[in-house]
Amino acid sequence: MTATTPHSPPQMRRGSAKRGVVTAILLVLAILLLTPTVAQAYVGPGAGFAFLSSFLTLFLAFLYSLFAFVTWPVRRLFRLIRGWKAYRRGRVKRVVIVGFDGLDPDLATRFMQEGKLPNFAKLRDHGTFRRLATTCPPDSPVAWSSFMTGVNPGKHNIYDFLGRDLGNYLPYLSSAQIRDARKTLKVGKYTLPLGQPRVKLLRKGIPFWHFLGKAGVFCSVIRIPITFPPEKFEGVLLSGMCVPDLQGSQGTFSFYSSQETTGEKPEGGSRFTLRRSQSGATDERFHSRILGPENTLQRRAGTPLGLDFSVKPNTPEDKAEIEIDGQRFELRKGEYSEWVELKFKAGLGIRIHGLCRFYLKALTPHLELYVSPVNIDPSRPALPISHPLIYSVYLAKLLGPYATLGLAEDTWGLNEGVLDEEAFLKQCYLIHEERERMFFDALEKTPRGVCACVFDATDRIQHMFWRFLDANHPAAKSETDRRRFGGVIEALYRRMDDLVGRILEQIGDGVLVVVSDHGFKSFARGVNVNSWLWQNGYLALKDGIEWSGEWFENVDWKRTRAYALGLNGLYINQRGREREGIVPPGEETRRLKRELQERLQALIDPQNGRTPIGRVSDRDAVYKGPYRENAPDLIIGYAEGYRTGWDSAKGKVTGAVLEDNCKAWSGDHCIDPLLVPGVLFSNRKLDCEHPAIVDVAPSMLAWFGLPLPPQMDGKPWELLGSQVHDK
Amino acid sequence: MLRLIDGAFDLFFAPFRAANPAYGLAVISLLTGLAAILVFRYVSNQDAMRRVKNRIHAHLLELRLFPDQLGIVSRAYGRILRFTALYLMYNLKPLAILLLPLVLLMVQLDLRFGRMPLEVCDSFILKATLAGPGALDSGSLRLPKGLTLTAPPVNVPVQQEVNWRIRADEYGVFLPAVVVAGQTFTKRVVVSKEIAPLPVERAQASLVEWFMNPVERPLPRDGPLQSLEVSYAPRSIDLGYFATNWLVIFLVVSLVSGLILKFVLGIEI
Repeated sequence: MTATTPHSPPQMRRGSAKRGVVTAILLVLAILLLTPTVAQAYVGPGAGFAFLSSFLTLFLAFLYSLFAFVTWPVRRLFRLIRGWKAYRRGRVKRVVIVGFDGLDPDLATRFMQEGKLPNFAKLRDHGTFRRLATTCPPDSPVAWSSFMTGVNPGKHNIYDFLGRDLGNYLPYLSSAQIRDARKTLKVGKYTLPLGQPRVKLLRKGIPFWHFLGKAGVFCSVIRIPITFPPEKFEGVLLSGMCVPDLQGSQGTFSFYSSQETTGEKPEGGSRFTLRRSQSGATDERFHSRILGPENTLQRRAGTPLGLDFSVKPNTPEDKAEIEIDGQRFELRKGEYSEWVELKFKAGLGIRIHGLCRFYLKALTPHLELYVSPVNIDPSRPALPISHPLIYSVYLAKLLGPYATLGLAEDTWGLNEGVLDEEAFLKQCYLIHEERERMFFDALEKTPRGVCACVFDATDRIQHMFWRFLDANHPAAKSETDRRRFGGVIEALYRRMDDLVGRILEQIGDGVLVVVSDHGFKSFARGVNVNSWLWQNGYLALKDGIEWSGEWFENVDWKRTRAYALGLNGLYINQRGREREGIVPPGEETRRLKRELQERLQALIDPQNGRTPIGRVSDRDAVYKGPYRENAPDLIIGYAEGYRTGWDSAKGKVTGAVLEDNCKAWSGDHCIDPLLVPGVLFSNRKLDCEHPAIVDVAPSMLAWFGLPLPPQMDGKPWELLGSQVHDK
Repeated sequence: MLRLIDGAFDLFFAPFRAANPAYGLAVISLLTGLAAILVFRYVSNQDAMRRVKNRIHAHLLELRLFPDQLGIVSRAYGRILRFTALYLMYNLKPLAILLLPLVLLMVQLDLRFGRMPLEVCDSFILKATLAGPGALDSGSLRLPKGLTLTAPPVNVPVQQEVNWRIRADEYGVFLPAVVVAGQTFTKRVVVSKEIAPLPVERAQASLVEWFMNPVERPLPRDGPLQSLEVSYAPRSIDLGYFATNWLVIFLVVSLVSGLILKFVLGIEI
C-alpha cells in the first residue's frame, strides 16, 4: 500500500510530499523541454558552466588524442628502436622494487619462522632471501644513494643527513641546497624574484633509471630517498626523503595549548598558546596562527607568512570545530583531520599552497591541538617535487592530497611527547596507505620497465617502538605499555607481508625485488663523542667554559684537533681545509686518526663494562671516488645498543660521555654496518652469495641487457630459475 | 504571479530605462551569474563535483604522462568519458532548479531586449489571425488617437489572416482594438524611445502563452480570434564597435561573471 492517509506515519507523508515535488519538477521540465523557443535554446549560465567544463574536457582530450595519434607512429618507432635492444636483450620485461626502509633481517627471520609472514616465507622458500650488506655508515640517505647509483659514498657524496661547512663548522643538509632566485627586482616594498628558486641536488652519481630511460625502458620511481630535487629522465618520479616542508625545514610540527606555554622550544617543532576570545557562554573560541614559509616578496627576517585559525571546543561531545582559511570542520578527540589546504598570501596575488593535518589531542583540562608540518601541496607545488612537474599534480588529482614532506612521519612529535604512541601510529599508517595507493597506481602504469617504491613506515615505527621489544631499554615505560605496544613491530611486519602478498597477486611474470637499506638494533645508550673529545683534550672550549651549546657554540677552534658532527662522522680540524684548522695534513692527520681510532675503540661503558664503539673506520680505507674529500675523516661504527648521543650529533659538549637514551626514539641503525644489514627478497632465485645494496643498480642494468658503466662499484646478481607466483 | 514578476522587472529596469540597453542587460547578466553560482554552491554536491573534476584532470594528465602506452591511454579515454558523464549528472540537480527561474528571466529579457519599440512616424503591421474562415474590413479596426491607418486591410483567406498597415504619430502605449463577431479585442502597441516590455503576439490562452506573454491577458480560448500580432523590429544592442543580440551579451556576461565569481567564492562548478 502506498497511498497516504491522514494517519500515515510522518516518514510516509514526507515520502509522498517528496514524490509530489519530484513529479512537479519533472512536469515543469517536460513542459519547458517540449515547448522550446529561441530564447530557451540557451538556458542560462548553469547550463553554460556544465557545457563549458564537459566540452572543454572532451575538447582537450580530443585535441591531445589528435596530436598523440598523429605523432604516435613516429614516437613509437623511435622508442621501439631504442627500447628494442633493452627488451630484446634483457632477461626481464618488468621489475618491481619494493623498498622497506629499515626492514630487519633478524626480525623478519624470526617472524617467518613463527609463521607470521607467509608471503615473505614464500619468497624465501621459492625465490631468494639474503642479508643485504649496507653502506658505511648504514644511514638511509647514504644507503639509498648507493642503491640508486650503484656506487660507494665516495662517488655519490652523501655521508649523512648533514654535511659541515668548512668555513664556519655549521651543518647543512647534505642532499639538497635551496636558494632564492639568482636575480630579483625591487619594486617598493616588494622584492620580485626574476626566475625560479634555485634548488640544487648535492648527491652525485647517476641513478640506474637514467640509464634505463635512455635505453627506452620506462621507470616509475616513488619516494626513493635523496631524489629531491627531482632530476629529468625518461620516466616518472616522486621525490622522497629530504623534501622540505613549507618552512624549509625537514619537518616542523606545531603544538597549540590553551595553557600558557613555558620552557624550551620543543625539538623539531614549535609550541604556541591558544588565546581565548569569549563573546558568550556558548561561543567560546580559541585563536592562534599557523606559520608558513618566509615571505620572499617582502623579506623581513623572522616574519614568516601565517594563517589565523580558531578552535571552538565542544567538551561534552569530545570534539572541536576548527575554522581556518574559509574552511570549517569538526574534529573528534584523538582523530586526525583530512589534509587541510592552506593558502599563504605573499602579496601581489601570489599564494603559496600547503597542506597540513590537525590532531585534537585533548579538550580538558586544557585544549591541546597538534598540527603537522605544513607539507608542500602536491597539486600546486611551491618547489618541484616530481618529474615531470605534473606527476605530483596527477597523483594528487587521482588519489587526493598526500604527504610530500621527506620525513613525513613525525618522530619528533612523539619524541617530544606532543603526540602519543597511538597518534603517531595512526599518522604513520595514514601516510603508508597513501603510499600504497601511489605504488599500485605506478604498478598499473608500468606494465613494462621498472617500478620502484620505498615505504618508510618500517623505519619510523621501529625507531619509535623498539623500546617495547627490549625489556631493559631505559625508555621502556610501564609493563602495561609494553603489553600494549609490544606487538606494534610485529603487526608492522605482518602488514608489510600482506602488502607483498598483494603485489605478488598483481605482478604476473615480473620480477619482484624487496630490499631494505639497513636493519635495526636497540639504541639504549648514547655516546657523546664531542664530550669525550673535550675530556680527552682533542676538542677545546673557550676559556672558563665547560659546556657548549648546539653547533659548537663555545668551541675554541684554535685549540681543537677533532670534532664530531652528525650520526657517525668524526672530523679532524685540518689546517688548510677547515677555516681555523690546526692539524697539518699528511702524516700528522694520519697519526691523529690512528690514535683516535684506537682510543675510541678502547672506550668502556662503566655502567656495564661493554665496548660502546665496535669499529672506527678511516675514510681512506672505506671510500674511493672523487668526493671522498667531503667525507668525515673517521666513521664511527657503534656497538649494538649504542649510538651517537643526541647532544653530540648536534655539536653540543656536555659533561656526560655515556648516557641513557630515554627518548621514544629507541631503535637505530647508525652503528657498525656489519651489525645492521638489510634484507633482500625476490620471487626469483638470484645467484648472489653476499649481496650488497650497491648491487641493485648494476643488477637492473644487467637484467635489461645494458652495459654496466665503469664507475659502478656494485656487482649484478644473476637471475636463476623461475619465479614464485601467488597462485 | 507572472504579473508580479513583470512588475518587479519593470522596477529593476527603471533606472536603465533611458540608457543604452547594454547597461541594464550587463547588470542583470552579472546578477544571474552570481545567482547561478550560489545555486551550484548550495544545491550541488560540491565534494563529489570536485572529486569527479579531479579525476577527469588526472586522466587528462595520464594522456600526457604515459603517451606511449596504448593500454593506459585507452583506459584513460574511457575514464574521461565516464567521469564526464558523471560530472554532467552532478550538474542536473542545480540545472533543474535553475531552469524554471531562468526561463522566466529570459522571457522577461526577451520582452525588453529582443525587439525595438516603435518610434513616431514608424509604420508597422498589425496582424489578426482568425479562428475560422472569414474576412475583416477597415471598420473592424478601431485605432486610438496617435495611430493612423495608412492602407486598407489585406485579407489572406488561406491563412485566415488580416493585416493592417498603421503609422505611429505620437509616443505612448496604445491599445488598438479589433472587432470580430461583435467582440472587441485589443493589442498593446508601444511607441517609445525607452526600454519597455514588447509582447509581439497576444494569443489564445495556453500554458505557453501564459509563460511567454505575462504583459497581456490571453485571448479567450475558442474565441473568434486566434492571435493579434505587432511587427516590432528585432533589436541589436550597440556595444560601440559592434552590435549584437541580447542573448549573446547575456551568455557571455553571465558565464564570465559566474566563472570569475567561482574563483572568488571558491565554488566548484
